[in-house]
Amino acid sequence: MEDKSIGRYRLIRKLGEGGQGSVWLAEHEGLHTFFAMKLAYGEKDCSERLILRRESERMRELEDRRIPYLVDFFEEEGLSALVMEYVDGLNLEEYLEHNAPLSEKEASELMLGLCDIVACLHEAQPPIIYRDIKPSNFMLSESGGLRLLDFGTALRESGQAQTGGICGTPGYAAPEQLKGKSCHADADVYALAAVWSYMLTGQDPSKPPFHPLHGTECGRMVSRASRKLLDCCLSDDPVRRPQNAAAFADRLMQLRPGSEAFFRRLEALLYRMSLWLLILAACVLIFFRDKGFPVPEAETGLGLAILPVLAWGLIRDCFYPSGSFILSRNLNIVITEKKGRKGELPQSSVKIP
Amino acid sequence: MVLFYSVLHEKGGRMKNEDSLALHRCETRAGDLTMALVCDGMGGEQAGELASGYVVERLSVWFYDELPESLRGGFNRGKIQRSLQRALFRIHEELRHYGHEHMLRCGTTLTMLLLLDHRYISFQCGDSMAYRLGRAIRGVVKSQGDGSGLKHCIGIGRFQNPQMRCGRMSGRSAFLLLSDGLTKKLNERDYFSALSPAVIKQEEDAGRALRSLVRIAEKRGETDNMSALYLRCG
Repeated sequence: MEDKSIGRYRLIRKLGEGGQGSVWLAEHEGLHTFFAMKLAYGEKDCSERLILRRESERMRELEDRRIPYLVDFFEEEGLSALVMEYVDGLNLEEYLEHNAPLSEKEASELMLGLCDIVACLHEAQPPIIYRDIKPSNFMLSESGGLRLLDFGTALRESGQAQTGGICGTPGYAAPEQLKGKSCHADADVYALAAVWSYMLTGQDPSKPPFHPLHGTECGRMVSRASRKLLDCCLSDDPVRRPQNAAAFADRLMQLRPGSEAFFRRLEALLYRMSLWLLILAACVLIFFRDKGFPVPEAETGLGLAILPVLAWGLIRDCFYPSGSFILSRNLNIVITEKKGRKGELPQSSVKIP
Repeated sequence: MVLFYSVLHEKGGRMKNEDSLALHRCETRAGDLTMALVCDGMGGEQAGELASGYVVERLSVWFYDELPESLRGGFNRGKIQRSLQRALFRIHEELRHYGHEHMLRCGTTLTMLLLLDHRYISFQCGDSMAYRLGRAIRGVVKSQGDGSGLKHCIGIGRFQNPQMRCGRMSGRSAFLLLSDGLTKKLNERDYFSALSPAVIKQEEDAGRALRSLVRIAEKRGETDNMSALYLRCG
């Protein structure tokens, strides 16, 4: 098999095997360049060859450096071949096998990279649903970037996207996907969250009992905000999940130290602490005064208590601009025949037929 | 920045106007920011004006409360898009649940234009249209209607991300946002001959030109609600 050639490509070695065929490292005989070649054998219209043809169509539509580019697609007697960029590097599955659980910071950074790739599929018009997100489909390339492989199950969503049969990997696939119901971008969000759960806990969802650990099962090693987000993304109800990978990435960004939302939470916490400090200082002053001890002037005590509030104001100004972003409103026109309070739906004005 | 504008909101041959419009402009730390919005409550649907009005009111709140957060740290169209998608998804779900509870179908199309200094971003859901008029006329959104009815809209069915297009303005240019009452019987040539920046010098001219478009559409047999927003930038 080592010397076999298909078209103008010489097969070097097998890289892997999946349900739809095998993947080979192939060398172009004229260019002496290495590519990955995916082969599907069978009758002309057998499902494996149709899936490979559909995969080539998806790859042709996508232009992103994080997705391997399509080089060639051809069909011969008894086989179809898809030639694409060869990505050398470490599979995310192998990486997690050796390194999971990762620190929360590293997991978040890695997840933002995964979400960014999947977001470019979801933001296509109409969106592309990947339907088989799992660590083995991501590569950590030698340059340190992430790449997404294998578009065999990817589906262009048009209205109510039907799955066309059950696909996906147990443990990573969303519940509605495994039941064979129509699935949307939020099914990919579920799978991304399952990968995140694997990163944080070290428990591979594709192994028994075939379900990702939810936030409530993660314990105190994971922050409360991350646990809450994990629960939300792994919800059985698709409406509760972020609607697509970009929305998930947004929520992840808000958890990062240094983000504006993080500073807001920190600011609120410090204000609360300052308030308690103020009350405590007042109580201590009253207690010592009643016992007849010499106490500092009340103004001095209050001043000391207020100091953290002022200090935080200074720190906050250093990190991000304070004050309103909007300087003035110049025009404010809304024309509608809708009745009732602004920004609310009436509860009784519309007659129920 | 927007020099002047004109608004048209006509019932046409209908008993009520199911279209809703909004125009907001404010000065921000990032520059002059404008949002123009035309929503067409779906014809034949019950409570169309409820859906279009609700979307307009909620997005007006989004413009002042949430959009500035996406603009902090500079113009980032991805952040703006995600913020709008989130807001629209919430509105869509609220309308859908409301419709379900009251046994109604509340749906609306949406065409939105955001202008920040010399950049523009358009968002489109349904068959309302937006054009940019300069030396020629060019659609800044792609109509999603195919004559056989809408495939999707806000409030009915499965949520679809709105189509987005971005661009830069150069020289004098104008934008025209239209509901489908003004797109079915009129074409780009009609809009350009009436509203070309070379013809429209002031606000009154724009108002007259929009009314003339309504008359032409009515002569051609249009009975739908007609709404338009004209923005002249410079």
